Amino acid sequence: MARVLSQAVLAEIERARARYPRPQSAVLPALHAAQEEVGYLSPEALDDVAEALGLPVTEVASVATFYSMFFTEPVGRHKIRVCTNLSCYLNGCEEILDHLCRTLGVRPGETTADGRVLVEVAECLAACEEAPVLLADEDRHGHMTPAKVDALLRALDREPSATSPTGPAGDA
Amino acid sequence: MSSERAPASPAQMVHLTIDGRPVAVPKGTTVWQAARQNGIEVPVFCYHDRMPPLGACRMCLVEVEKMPKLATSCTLEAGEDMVVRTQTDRVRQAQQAILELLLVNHPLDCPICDKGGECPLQDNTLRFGPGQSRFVETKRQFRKHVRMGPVLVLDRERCILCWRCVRFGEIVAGDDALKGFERGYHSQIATPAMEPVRSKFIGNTMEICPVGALTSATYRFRSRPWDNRTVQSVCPHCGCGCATTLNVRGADLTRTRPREHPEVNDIWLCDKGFFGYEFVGSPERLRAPLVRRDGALREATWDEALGRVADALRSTSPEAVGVIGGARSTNEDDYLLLRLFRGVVGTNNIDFRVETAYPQPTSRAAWGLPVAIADVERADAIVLVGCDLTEEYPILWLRVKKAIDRGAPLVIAGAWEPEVARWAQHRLIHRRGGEAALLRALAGGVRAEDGAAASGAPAEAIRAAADTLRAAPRALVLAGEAALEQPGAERVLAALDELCAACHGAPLGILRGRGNSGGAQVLGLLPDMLPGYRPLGDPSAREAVAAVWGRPVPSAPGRTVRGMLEAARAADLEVLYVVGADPASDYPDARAWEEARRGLRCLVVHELFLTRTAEAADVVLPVLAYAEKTGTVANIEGRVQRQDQALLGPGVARSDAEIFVDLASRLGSPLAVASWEQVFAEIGRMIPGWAEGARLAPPRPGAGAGRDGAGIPDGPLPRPEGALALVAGRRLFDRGTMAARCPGVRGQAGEPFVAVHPEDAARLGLRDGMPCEVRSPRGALRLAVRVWAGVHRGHAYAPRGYDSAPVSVLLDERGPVAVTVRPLGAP
Repeated sequence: MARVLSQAVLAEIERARARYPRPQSAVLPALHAAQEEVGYLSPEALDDVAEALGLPVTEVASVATFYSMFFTEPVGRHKIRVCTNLSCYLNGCEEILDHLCRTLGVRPGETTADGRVLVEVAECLAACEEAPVLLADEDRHGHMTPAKVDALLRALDREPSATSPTGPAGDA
Repeated sequence: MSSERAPASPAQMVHLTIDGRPVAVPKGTTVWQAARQNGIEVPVFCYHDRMPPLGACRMCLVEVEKMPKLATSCTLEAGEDMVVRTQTDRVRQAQQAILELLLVNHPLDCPICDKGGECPLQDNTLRFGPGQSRFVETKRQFRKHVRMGPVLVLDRERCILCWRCVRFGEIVAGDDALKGFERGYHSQIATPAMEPVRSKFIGNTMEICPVGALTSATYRFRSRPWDNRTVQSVCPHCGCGCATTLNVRGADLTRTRPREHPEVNDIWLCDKGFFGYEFVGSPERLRAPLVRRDGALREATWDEALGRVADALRSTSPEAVGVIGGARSTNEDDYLLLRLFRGVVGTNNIDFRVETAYPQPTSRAAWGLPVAIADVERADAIVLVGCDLTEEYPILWLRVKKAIDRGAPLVIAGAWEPEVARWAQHRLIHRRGGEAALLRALAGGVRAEDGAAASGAPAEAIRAAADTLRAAPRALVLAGEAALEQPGAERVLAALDELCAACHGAPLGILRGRGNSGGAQVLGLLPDMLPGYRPLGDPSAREAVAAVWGRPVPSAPGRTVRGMLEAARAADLEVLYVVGADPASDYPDARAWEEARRGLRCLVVHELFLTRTAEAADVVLPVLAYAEKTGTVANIEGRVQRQDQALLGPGVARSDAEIFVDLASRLGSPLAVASWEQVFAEIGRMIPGWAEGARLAPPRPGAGAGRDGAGIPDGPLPRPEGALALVAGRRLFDRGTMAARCPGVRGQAGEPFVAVHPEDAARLGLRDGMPCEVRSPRGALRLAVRVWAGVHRGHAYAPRGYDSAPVSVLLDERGPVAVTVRPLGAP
């Protein structure tokens, strides 16, 4: 009796559940799949995940709030996370963040009024050699400059959401 | 899973030194327990002895020789030759540091905190903490006192994140009601979106919360602990008979708390037990007798009211007098009821089973548990048939949960999924009426395919469950009202016997009866039984009773409740005496009751409130509630427990016992009764083993004894096209006579509803929350639709216990009913 999740996502959750002896192990992949479809983890989405895994919704919601990459409130369709840790700081991340926020008219942690982009400050994105670094949805972008930020924002318009189900993709 | 280990043999003892004292404890004991067992107190917050250690709060640090750092004594297993010190400067400094850190974010709003005066944080700070804080920064702030439903108030600022409440929900209750949300500095106890907490046991988290983070909405600002008088009592609700302590301030019942009873409720209580006390102080309580004059009930003196009752009894032949009820009275009340009606009036028309139209003889199917409540957790497998355990006997669930944690599989069978279905290894959801076939298939008496065909439960699932049960050496079979309150109950009983036999002689518990049903049964408030489960038909038993009473006991068996109502309709029963019961709402056929009422010459009711039955009575006698009288009661395992008077009753209300004694005098046969103790002692002359604390378990005949009809196949329920088979179930939170007057229970009950399977809902055009009319051949109710996959297809589930919409309006004492469910207000 899923309320918001599609059959495809429910099937994906079922596959995740089948991989582990305990349904708890499948909570994270299930939440990722649900958030990808709904945009954030609404109460209905959490109910659906809990039902699909046969777990109490309290447990699923508890996990959802623990991780900063899950959202329990509506946020932008695209999420841009700018690293502000040491390497990025020394390499000018402030300018990147500032440019991004001014261009979009938001402060860190806010979503643009049209619901398109969320800007967040991130802890280390594990790519100090490319500092300053940001994460746009699932894709990492290194050696950022204000011009590259502008190009990235234009690309976001063209591509609905660059995602991969397995997690953040590197620039290999 | 309990952290208390079983005692070990001397060979497994370990020897250590705590604070210079040599100590020997069984292997596996923690250092904290070893200290505690030897009278040395080490403060704790997160550790609770009903749950495994966690080591989160660091309050229990001790110094252990050869260990470089202080150790948490609650998680450290005592080792041979260990040298532990709990009182050193290092330990004291650590305790002070921990408390100073815990108090960094604690608001210290003790003057407005209900926990003040019974708060471990307050107590430990006073004894072990620093006198002052060095913290001058801003404390963590949350919205104060968030109401999480009708009973729980959450204050996250006071919380020290000990996780007791979260772990209670995970380990003890299994309802996962509260969880930790967010992380690190933002960690907090919450529910998803701060919605009302969904639990039947949340009162316990308020009890074990070591600070004022979880407090009771009903007790809020009502009293300080030191102003409360404490009185021992027994919960009057479900039949488990949990031991309680009543808190009284002045003339107010301020709260109910669990009283530790290892054999019954341990240290727990369900939320009906916690919050189902406010009816006692309700302004709607009856304060004076009422007598029908000129067609209306009017206040009267006791003399007038009892004079009227005595006249009615005197002018009626004994066989035309009937008594129903007694399950809300004490044993002493009930015993005097027997002396009055069996001994003085001379009738055997006595039956406490007001809510059943299909009574089975007690000699063959006594209600209750043949084992102790505490034994339930020791079963190797548990079969639950037609019983929604957390809705009906919540405290038993905590025992079943412990059995499950030990590895015992739970098998459930019913027309709807009980709340605990998530914990079951096998779920056999079946058609109503298919119980016998299903149980026989489980027992191996018929093929799984035949059981499946007759019940609608999948054959695969039946086979798997049967295999599981066969492998359990000590199974326990529990059957409830939903399985037995139907015309085929004899066949169900026979099948249950067959199943028990197939499960290596598993004991069979019949989970029925509420309040003091256990006492009413053992005393014989039944048409064919005498005190102590002795059959009325046994002349020597009658003589033994007559010898004590000094009056003969009539030998002809009396009528059951159903028989009395039938007799009333035929004008063969003229006077009906109802003691603490509301058959107009609760007898499972409202129309049958109304017709019976019309045939009665006189209806007398003992009541707390003007119930539907009382409204139709000729004489209404106001009586004392459980908290207003001293006496004993017996629970579903037959355990006799004492409850003490905590309050005076309202107005001129009297105990049931006083009324019976008065009536006996008016009828010319005074009962020389000086005290409840004297009555208690007199019961002891009739029932061997009768004593406070004793367990008088219901007798169980051998498997198959006197039960027949096992060979009769179950047929599908006949019903018109499109109609649904009606099943009625109990809810813990309902809106009956007492619960409706307890805001903490009433609020959780919500509005009455009818639950239908999603497929039926789609077919009938029903959506969740939609108002609808449920119509049976007997009557109709307006209810809200609940679409629920837990109910078997083709069935409609409606809750009992809502006096504003009694499901008895739809029920038919002659057999199962089919209902149509029609949307209302839809264009």
